[in-house]
Order: sequence, then C-alpha cells, then structure tokens
Amino acid sequence: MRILLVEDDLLLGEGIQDGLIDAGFVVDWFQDGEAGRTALQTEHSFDLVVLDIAMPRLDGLSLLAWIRRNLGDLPVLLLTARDSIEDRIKGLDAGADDYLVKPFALGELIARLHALLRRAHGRSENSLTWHSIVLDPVHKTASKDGASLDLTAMEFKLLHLLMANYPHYLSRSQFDEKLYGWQGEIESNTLDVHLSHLRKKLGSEVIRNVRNLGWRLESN
Amino acid sequence: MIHRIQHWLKHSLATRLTLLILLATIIAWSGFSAVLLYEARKETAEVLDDQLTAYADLLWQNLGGEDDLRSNNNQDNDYHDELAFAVYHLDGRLVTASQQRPFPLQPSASKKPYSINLNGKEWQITVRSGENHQLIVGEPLKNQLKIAEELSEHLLEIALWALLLLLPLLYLAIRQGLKPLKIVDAELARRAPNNLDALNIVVPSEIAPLRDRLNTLFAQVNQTLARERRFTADAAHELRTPLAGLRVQIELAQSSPRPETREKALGKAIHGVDRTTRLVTQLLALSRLDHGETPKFEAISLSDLARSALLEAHLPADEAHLSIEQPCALIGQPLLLGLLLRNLLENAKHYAGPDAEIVIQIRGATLSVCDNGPGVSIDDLARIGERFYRPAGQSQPGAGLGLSIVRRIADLHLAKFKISNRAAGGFCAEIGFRRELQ
Repeated sequence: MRILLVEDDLLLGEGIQDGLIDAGFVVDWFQDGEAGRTALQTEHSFDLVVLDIAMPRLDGLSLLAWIRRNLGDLPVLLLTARDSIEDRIKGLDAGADDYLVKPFALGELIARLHALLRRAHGRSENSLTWHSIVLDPVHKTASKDGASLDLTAMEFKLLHLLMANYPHYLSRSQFDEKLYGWQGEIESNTLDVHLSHLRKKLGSEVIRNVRNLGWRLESN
Repeated sequence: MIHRIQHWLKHSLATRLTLLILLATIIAWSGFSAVLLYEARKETAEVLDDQLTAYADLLWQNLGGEDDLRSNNNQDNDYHDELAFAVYHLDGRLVTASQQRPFPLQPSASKKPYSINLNGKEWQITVRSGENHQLIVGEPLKNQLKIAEELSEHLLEIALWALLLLLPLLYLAIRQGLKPLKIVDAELARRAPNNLDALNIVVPSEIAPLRDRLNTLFAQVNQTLARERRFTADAAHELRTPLAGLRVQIELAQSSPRPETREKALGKAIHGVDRTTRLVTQLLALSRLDHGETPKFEAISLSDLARSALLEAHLPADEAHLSIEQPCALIGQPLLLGLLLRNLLENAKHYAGPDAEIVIQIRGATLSVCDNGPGVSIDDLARIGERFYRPAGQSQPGAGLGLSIVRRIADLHLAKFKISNRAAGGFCAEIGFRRELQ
C-alpha cells in the first residue's frame, strides 16, 4: 500500500516514514503542501494521504480541499496539534476521513490507516479473503486452507496488492510504484523473482500473468 | 493632629463634602452677618439720631419758663429711658438739667447729633441755640450698642439653629448626590473577576471620565489576557509537534524490526529532546520578556557585548567578524542584549550555511549582525519576525521564536529593529539604539 505523507517537521516526518515502512507500507514523504500537491498531480498510485494541517506554503486543509475537488474520495488522515472540538469538526468538515491529534502512538496511526484502507475497499474486516487464502495486513499473517504461509515481507506485500486489487490486473509499473515509491530503487527483474517465489508458495495456478495487462489472482 | 484630620477627611467623600460645605456656609454666613450688623447699627444710629433730633426740636419749641422746664419729665421709652437734657443761658448759667451732672455748655450750635464723653460715659447729644438759651438733649451711646448687641445675639441664635438643621440635611443631600458613585461601585462589585466587558452605565459627567478610564483599562487588560492566552495556546501547540516526533522516534527505537532504524531513531530522539529544550527555553525567555518587570538599565559597551557573544558562539572576535566605528556609550540591560546577540548569531549560523561569514558591525549606536548566506525570500522577510513562523522546507532546528525575542528586547530598549537582505547577498538584522538613552 502506498502512502503519501505530508509533514513539515523533520523529526516527526522521518519517524512516521520509518514506522510506516516497518508496518509494510510504501511511504513518500514531502515537507510542504505544495510539494505534496505536485506529487499527487504526477502520481496516481497513492492509496492514502497522511496530512499535517499546519504547514508552510500550502496548509493541510487547503490541500485536503484540493484533493476532494480533484481526486475524489482518496482517503485522507489529518495530523494536527490543535485538539479543540472546533478544530476536529473543521477538519472532518473539510473532508478528512480521520483525525489524529499530536502526539500519538505509531501503533494507533497504523491501526487507523489500516481501518481507512479497509473502508476504502468496502470491507468490514481488516483481513482480506480470496477463496481459501486469508491475509491479515495488521498482523502481517497469511494462510491458505487454514495453514499459515511463510512469506517474506516483499512476498507479503505482493500478495496484499493482488488481493486488494482483485479482480483488476496490476501492471509492472503499478507494482513498482506501490512497492517502492519514489525513493526506492527498482531493478527490473526483482519483481519477477519475488512473484515466482510467491507462486511457489501459493501454487503456480493462483497468479495469472497476461501480456500488456499484468498480474492478477486467478480462480480456476 | 492635622495629619489625622486630613486622613479622616480623605476617608469619606460625604464627610469631606459636608464639612467643606459647612465651613463655606459658616464663612459666608459670618460675612453676611457682619455686614448686616454694620448696616443695622448704622440704621439704628440714624433712627435714634432722628428721634433725638425730634425730641430736641419738640423740647426747643416748647421751651417755656424756667419753672416749666424744671418740671419736665422724661418720657418712658425702651431705648430713650436715659434721655437727658440741659438748658443754659448763653452766658453760661445753667437754667435747668435733668441730671445732677449736666451736659456742659456746648461751643457749637450744630443741630447734627454728635457724641461727647461725660464722666466716663459716651453720650450722643444734639444742641439747639437761641438768642438767650442753649438746649442740649442727649442720650447714652450705649443704647445704640444695645440694639446692635441684641440684633447680633438673635442672628447668632438663628444661625446656630440653622446650622444644626443644615448639618443632617447637607449630609443627606450629599449622600443622595453621590449615589452615582455607589451605582458604579455596585456594578463593579457584581462583576465576575474574568468579566472585562466595558461598563455600560449612565453616570454624571463628573464620573464619566472615571468610567471611561476604567473601560480603557478593561480593554487593555483584556488585550493582554487575550495575547497571553493565544501565546500559551500557540506554545502548547508548538510543543505538541516535537513531542509527537519524540514519541514516534522512541517507539521506533524500541520496536522497529530494522536495527539501523532503531539506532537512527535513538539519535533522532536525543536531537528531539535538545530541540524541545531549546523551544522551552525560548518560550520562557519570551514569556519573561513579555511579562517581567522593566529591566534595570546600566551603562553598557556594545563592543564588549559583541566580543563575548562571538566567543560564546565559537566565532573569533577578530576584525573580520567584528567591525567597530565610533562606538558610543549606551544604556541597556547587558543580559538581555547578550540574549539578543546570541539569538542573532545562532540564526546566522543556522541559516546562512556552514561556510558563511558572519559579521557584527557597530556604527555609533547602531548594531547589525549580517551574513553572506542565501538571505530570505521577500514573502518570508515580511513574516519571519512573527512568532512561530518558520519558512518552508526548513531543515534547521528552531521554533520561529528567535527573532521575536530579538524584537522584544529591542522594544524594551526603545530601539529600532530592522531585518533585510543585503544587496551583496545575505541576511542582515539591524538594531538602532536611541542615543537619548545615553
């Protein structure tokens, strides 16, 4: 899952970025609203935006308004130092999906992000189920036919993406964007290596590759 | 004693007014009585003189033979009971007299009454002279005085009674008159301590300035409180962000699966503590500057202060960094000016880049700290002095309070504070001290 983080504070921004990477997200971090907007204009693979309200150049609420006008209901979580009820109402009225007051626990931020993603995909449970495969993004566990699957972090992300986007195909560039963000360096065959490992663990017939379309889960 | 009376007079406005009005009344009354008595005495004297003249004329016209004269009786009259007369032949022989010691023969023939002294007693007499006789009619002068005395006694009595009546009336009237003050007092007493709205009561024109002053004071206190509240709120919010950063970094240091992230997070956490400490220190400094007492000024040397500030900032205090022209003696608060210089130097070190040259210039009463770094954008230049304002993309620690502190200290010294970009590139902060403070 790819997350856009817009936070002007270096200490907090870097901490959130590291924490979200640890939690299995791909994070792109920008330090002012204007840069955040540019990123959203040029990239369309963000699943969620974490937005600080008080920021130089373009503040969080203005950026949120821009997102609602131009990108529809892309999930947005607001971070703010203001904790009054009025401020919360203002944030939620502006179209935020959730609201977190500083300081907060990383665990809470991650749990809320998962909840937002779940809601964005129209699910009521955190875990994703596809046929006999169950994936729990919060606890980072996956199982097939009730038996636990032993996946690496990258394999887990791949499976998560495939399950979350079913029944759509995911192209190579979409995978790259969602897996590495802008900071990551991409080697052309890495994806194929990880996919083939995942195929071995799930059964080769589960992931289908169609030329020019990409990959998706396939039921026989 | 006088002091105690003064104290007592100040104690109550009603008492004070009553006493002062009473005093004024007594003075006016006394003056009025004196004039009245004088006039009364003059009038009485005239009336009595007229009567004396009338008696004398009557006597003179009816002056018969000497036997007749001898049998003449005094008339019974309150104020003429001691009416006396004497009749002389013009050659000086006494014909008859009403007294054993008669008036002496008078040299003048004036009909106008005048006073003489006869055996130690003042008499008002009038004289009628004919071809053979002279008639002298007189009455004791004390009759006139007696009337005046009685009159003044009456006046005094009336005055005393009037004063007795006046005292409570005055007191009541003044209390009534001071009622608007009580209304203001009641209005103020009824107020909740945090109610700083303007007093909206109708008062007489004498108290209106007091009410207006109070309202002005209320407004000022209100403004101060609002500023204080805003500052506290801002400060609290400014603290939340570094605290959030700290918390996140400590969580990472505790539980990140990546060892390098854990290590980095610990370092960041320490950095975050330093930053938060700096923020708290600056907030405290600003709060003290805003609400502390007026600093005690003393003679200072800008050059010495600049030298020690440079050394403290680990910059050499040589001619390349400190340029002094015509330094003049000034008055200021050395600790505050040290804080001002420290903030400016720290700013320059942080924002001008590692290789930038920082120069302190002293030209007369003007102090400037300049660098040859990238300077500040026009938009930021307008806002950079605002509290908590930080330009975008700032990688240096700070809370945007440094220049606020500098500005505040400059204000306390009644100095002009100016920030600008140098034409040659770089940022420049200038403080123009007032020479009048010398």
